[in-house]
Amino acid sequence: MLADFSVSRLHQRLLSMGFTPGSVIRVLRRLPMNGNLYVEIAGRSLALRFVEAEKITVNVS
Amino acid sequence: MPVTAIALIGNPNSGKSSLFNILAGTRQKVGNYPGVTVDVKSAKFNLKSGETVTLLDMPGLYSMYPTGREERLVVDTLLHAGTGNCPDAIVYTVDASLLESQLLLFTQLIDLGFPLLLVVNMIDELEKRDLAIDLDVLRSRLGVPVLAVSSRTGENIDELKHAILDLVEKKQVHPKPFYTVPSDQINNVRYVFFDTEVGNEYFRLLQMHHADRQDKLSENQNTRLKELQDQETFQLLPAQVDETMDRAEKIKRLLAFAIVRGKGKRFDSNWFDRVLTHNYAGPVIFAAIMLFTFQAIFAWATYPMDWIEGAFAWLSGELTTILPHGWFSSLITDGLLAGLSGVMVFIPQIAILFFLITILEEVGYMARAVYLFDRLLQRVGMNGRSVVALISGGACAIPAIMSARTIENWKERLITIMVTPFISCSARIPVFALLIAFVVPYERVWWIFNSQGLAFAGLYVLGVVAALTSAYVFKRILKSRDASFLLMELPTYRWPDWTNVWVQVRTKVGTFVTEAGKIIILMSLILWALASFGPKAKMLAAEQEAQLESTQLGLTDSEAGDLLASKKIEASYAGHIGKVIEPVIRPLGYDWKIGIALITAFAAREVFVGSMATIYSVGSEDNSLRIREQMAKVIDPQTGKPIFTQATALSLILFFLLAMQCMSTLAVVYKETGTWKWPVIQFTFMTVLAYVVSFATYQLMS
Repeated sequence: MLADFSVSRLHQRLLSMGFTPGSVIRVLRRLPMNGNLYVEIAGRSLALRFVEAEKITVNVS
Repeated sequence: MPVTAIALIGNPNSGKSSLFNILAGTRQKVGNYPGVTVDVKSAKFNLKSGETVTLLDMPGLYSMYPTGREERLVVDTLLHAGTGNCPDAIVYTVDASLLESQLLLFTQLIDLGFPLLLVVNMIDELEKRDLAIDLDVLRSRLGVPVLAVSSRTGENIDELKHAILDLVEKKQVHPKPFYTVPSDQINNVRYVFFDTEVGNEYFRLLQMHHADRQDKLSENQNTRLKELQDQETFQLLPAQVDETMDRAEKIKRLLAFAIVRGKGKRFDSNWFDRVLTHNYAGPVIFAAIMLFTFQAIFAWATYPMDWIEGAFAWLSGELTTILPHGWFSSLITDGLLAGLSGVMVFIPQIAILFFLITILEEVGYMARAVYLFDRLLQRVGMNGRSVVALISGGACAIPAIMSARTIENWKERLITIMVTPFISCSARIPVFALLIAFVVPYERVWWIFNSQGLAFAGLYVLGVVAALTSAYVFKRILKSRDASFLLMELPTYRWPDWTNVWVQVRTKVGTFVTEAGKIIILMSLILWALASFGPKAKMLAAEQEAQLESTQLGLTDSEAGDLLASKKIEASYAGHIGKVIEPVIRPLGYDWKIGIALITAFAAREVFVGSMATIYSVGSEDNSLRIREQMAKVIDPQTGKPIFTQATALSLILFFLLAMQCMSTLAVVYKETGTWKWPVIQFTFMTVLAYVVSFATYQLMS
């Protein structure tokens, strides 16, 4: 469950792509050594970098 | 009669282009907006009423607060900024399965006051996901006409056409906004815009958000906006975030009524990805796909290339007999036709490669390749998205460099543009094919491979290594302010839309023909002049010498003709230039004859083969094998040894691999970067590198 993320330009982009607080994120795959993540949010599959993912706070369920 | 402009707008991967293809068919044109390198497709329709309707296919975007260049273009257009192409009505497409995330932008368009039609696309895929959408709920809650279609099965397409006509006629606007602009923001808008009446409040609010990029605000309005920002009563990002969250919340509530979920298992389209994006299997499969792709080019392109060459040879032969003998006939056949043939012969390879690349893009695989290689490419200063440009570079650097437009970060895009020409393009293939036999003798390796094929593959790898290494060097030198993003959608795997594939291939081949074609033909004419004319006395002497030798040796007519051509080119201006540059290229192992061929190769690399044929007097029989035999016989008068040793040939191959020898590419780099600085740097960098590497190779090997 997505809780929060820090404000940045990335912020707006994440929001417009469906990362709104309260949405459920599923991490489907990830590449080794803090590589890119392959996640699903609101039915949409997205690729994001580890550093981009670090900006997102989640509650693990 | 007035022209009504209707824009197709939607998120990326909402099936917008497929819909456009169905509606527009073959009448579509790809155009460029002035000043921006973004393609916008359009099609014109004449209605029975006499009215003309232009349908525009805009680049996909996610929200009215854009982050990318293409997205900004759409936003600027919708806010009337500069382009003057603001549509009168909008057809908005959404992927039926992704309604929740794709409606955000739609609600923003409602609030801007555009007449709208909501098209729920890919309705056929809903069943697989065990979902159903209640269109009536959408209609009543959103207050706009809603239509469910499938661009794949053609379901409801006729209804769509009617609905668009209806939209053109009525231009019905949604009665009340979806999002209520908070009162403090309304106050801000009124404070800045108290002196004008342009657009509604949300429209003006967006103009305030994008004030830095648009000259729409008057000086006084700008001053007042600055004032608000200084007082921190108007902050862009928090305001955007609040708005987006409010909209998302409302959409979620609305859809709770509109989407009917079945009990069935969720359709898992990511099954493929367990293999295709696997940590280890992924890159291996990618390499296999690339191997197959390039193998396919070699296997399939040979036949059409032979036909094209054959056709030109026939035409040239016919014209020689028809036209009166002399310089004019030579200009047409050796200058114009040779140039034209040099352009046409690459079309099969380029078309096949772009056909395969477009399929990979269409099915959604390319996005996975981006995901896989982003890390590696980031290390050398590029972006995962550079993968597309680098692969396309295997066909032709020109469309490849243009495809780097999808990279938003300027530095990453620039580096991609700078290093893409290192990837071995189709024009290098004939040169490599001619020279490789001097370097590696033909042998079978492990039953299925042969030594020359492996060497060929090695050259491709070397090109990639050169590209990545120099990218790293550029990364270290260039400074950048922009943030770099990956964050991108991985679209669901789908069958390709063949109209889209066709349009893409046609566009890419078209760019090659127009961008490269005109320069190749122009250069071909210039080179023809340089090679046909020379100081009068010397040309005459060459002719007499050739005649004398022919009679002495008792040559046949065609052999005598070849000898004459070879003697004449030596006496021509091209021959003079070759001799002038000989001291420079001598350390690389080349004589003045190779020098001539090298100069001609600056028009386009493959011209090298034809020039070698002329210089070594096998002109009339354009055959690699014969040129090679002839080349092997050439003796260096200074040393008395053959010129074409392993060392010379390898040095030449490496020169062709690394040097910037394509005027058309430089012209396109100029267009894409907007300054001569980068093509000049690129030319110098690549050519100096080629010189140094070839020098070292030749000196070490001989």
